Amino acid sequence: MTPGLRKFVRTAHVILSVGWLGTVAAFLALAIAGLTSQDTQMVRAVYIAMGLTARFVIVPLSFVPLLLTGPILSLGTPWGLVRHYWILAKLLINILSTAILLVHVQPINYLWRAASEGTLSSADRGVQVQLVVAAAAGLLALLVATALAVYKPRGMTQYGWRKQYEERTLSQS
Amino acid sequence: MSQTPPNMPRWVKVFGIIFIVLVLAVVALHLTGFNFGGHMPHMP
Repeated sequence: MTPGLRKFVRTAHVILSVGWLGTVAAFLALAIAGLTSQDTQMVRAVYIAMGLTARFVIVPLSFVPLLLTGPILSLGTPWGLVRHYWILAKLLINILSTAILLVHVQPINYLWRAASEGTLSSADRGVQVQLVVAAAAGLLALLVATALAVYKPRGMTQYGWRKQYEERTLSQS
Repeated sequence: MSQTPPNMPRWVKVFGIIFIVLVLAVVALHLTGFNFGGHMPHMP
């Protein structure tokens, strides 16, 4: 990968990943407002906004770093995808976060529809609580992933160590 | 460079344990009835 392309992909990866984190933080704020507010109009507006945000921002933002920019950056550079534990940990966090997000698309759509049709009731409180918990867990996971990307804690997997050993042996011979 | 692979760092072991516990907790919550269908009375 050329240095220019690498810089471009890295920039896109940072923007998308941090954008995902920021949107999940806003989603959590909306989920808490929807759960705690006594104003019916406000609650309806909150769940409509959450539905739109999830469909058009959070879900697309979760897939691009996981399936495109992340693997390109890892595999197109000496870092590799499974050579360092911190990259492997980030990959696992992103897979789990995206899976939890996809599991919660149904309740998000349900509240969105109920808010649009004006059929929200106290019986929906369980779903509302669930979205707060899921958004908080997602935010925490993405904060850990961001910290891993910045600190890059030491530690090479056995596969990474073997590849590095082979490359050094080859370059010395 | 030594010919033996390095030990797994402590932070990886801690991370692995937390990750497995969280995954099991999520799966257990959903298997024990804390699922979405039970909380969505208006779903067709």
